[in-house]
Amino acid sequence: MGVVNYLSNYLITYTGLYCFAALFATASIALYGLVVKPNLIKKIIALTILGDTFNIAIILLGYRVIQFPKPPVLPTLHPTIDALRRFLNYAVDPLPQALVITAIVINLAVVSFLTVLAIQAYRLKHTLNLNELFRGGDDG
Amino acid sequence: MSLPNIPVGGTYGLLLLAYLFTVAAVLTYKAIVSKDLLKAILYSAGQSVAFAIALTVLMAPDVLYAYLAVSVGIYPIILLYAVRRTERFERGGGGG
Amino acid sequence: MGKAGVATLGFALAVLTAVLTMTIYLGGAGHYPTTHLRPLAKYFIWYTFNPYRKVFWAGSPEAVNAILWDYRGIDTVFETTVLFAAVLGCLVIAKDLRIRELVVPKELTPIVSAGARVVIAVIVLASLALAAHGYISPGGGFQGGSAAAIAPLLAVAAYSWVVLKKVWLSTSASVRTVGLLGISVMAVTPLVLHGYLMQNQWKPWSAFVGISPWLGRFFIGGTLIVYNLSEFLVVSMEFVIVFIALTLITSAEEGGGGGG
Repeated sequence: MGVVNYLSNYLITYTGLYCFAALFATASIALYGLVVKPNLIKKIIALTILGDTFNIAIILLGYRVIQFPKPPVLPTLHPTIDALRRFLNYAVDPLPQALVITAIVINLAVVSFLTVLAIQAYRLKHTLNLNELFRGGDDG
Repeated sequence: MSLPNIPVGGTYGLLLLAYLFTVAAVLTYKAIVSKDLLKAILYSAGQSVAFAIALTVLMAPDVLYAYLAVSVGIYPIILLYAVRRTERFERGGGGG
Repeated sequence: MGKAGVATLGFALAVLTAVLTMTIYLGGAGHYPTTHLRPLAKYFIWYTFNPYRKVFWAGSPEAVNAILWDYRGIDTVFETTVLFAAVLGCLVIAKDLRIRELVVPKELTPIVSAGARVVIAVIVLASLALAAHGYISPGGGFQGGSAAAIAPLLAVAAYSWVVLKKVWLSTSASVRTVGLLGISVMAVTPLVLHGYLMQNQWKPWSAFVGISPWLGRFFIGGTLIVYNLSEFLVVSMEFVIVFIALTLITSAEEGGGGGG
């Protein structure tokens, strides 16, 4: 059983690290797309992916690596002190989830405004390429 | 005969998360690289579905409701409106 | 950005990924991997529905909704303000809304119309239920509001854009104002009654009695039910306004003369 314990700690640590590495790799690819690609709609797509990835990373930080984690919702309307104490042993962190809901709403507001701006830019200049939109601008 | 109490139970969630985040990374690479904006929007919606399943594993039901409606429903629809009113294919050309 | 610039950016992003992962591994974001709760999370879960310690409780067994509307209520009010400002910006840009008279509206077959009618009714009711029970089980105002945003899209898909004519703009703006008034009045009422802003339950350092979470036999969760229902109205109507702005925005070529 000692071997299984050692292996399971190893497995938990490195699988968790791989989860974070995959999330940060996704964020890096989205950041690359945001900076390098000149099309406005592609930039907006990359912005939504970037925001969503960091939101999931925050929630992953509040996760507990136990056998049966539970969402932070008390399952009864008449709790006893013992039930509360037992619930504390299984519940997942509620604070990152509340902050992420606020972040989702604010990202939604920004992205919807940016999309309307992009449509208006196409209406006026008939192009969505950032280089052509700024041609004849203040660095030309 | 009961199962032995192996303390590996916490790993199963993490293994599922590792798979889901790998799928999300591959889909986001295909979304950024593709020149057809419609395909980029659909790849991004697929990546959002992978993240939504990950939110269920992470035991976050409130965030799941908000994230599913917004990221799988609203973003692709708003971006499809934008692609419909503008151009579908990204014009080639270097970085900027 | 030439080829060298793009290569440098790619290399820098790879280094960033590695550095961030090492930060997590070395415990930069708390002890990793953890099987215990952080002390702040323990505080929120222990006190959110603890009827034996009524000084700190929030009157709702759902910790996330209690954090959103009771412990950090002003954050959520400002988030609603940001959404309001963004939708206002969208409307200002799309201000020359002109119905595209040249495009013939095409309604789909009767089977699709009848089916869409049923599905739209179910969507509206289900999202209202999702918003209303947000203080007991997972759900809440914003979740229900964004689920209800699918209904006008389905209506536009099944009945064509005539469903979103210009009169809908004033109706949805009025309903949104009702929702915003609900949030504001509920937030300022404890302040007027000698408490503090957005107070939910009784606290020993303020003179406001607090709103009881039980109404006879029914559990209503204090101020949380008013906040959830108002936020549902606000968010769903704001999505309708954004879809109106996106559907009716015309380009300079179609729709008869002179955009911009």
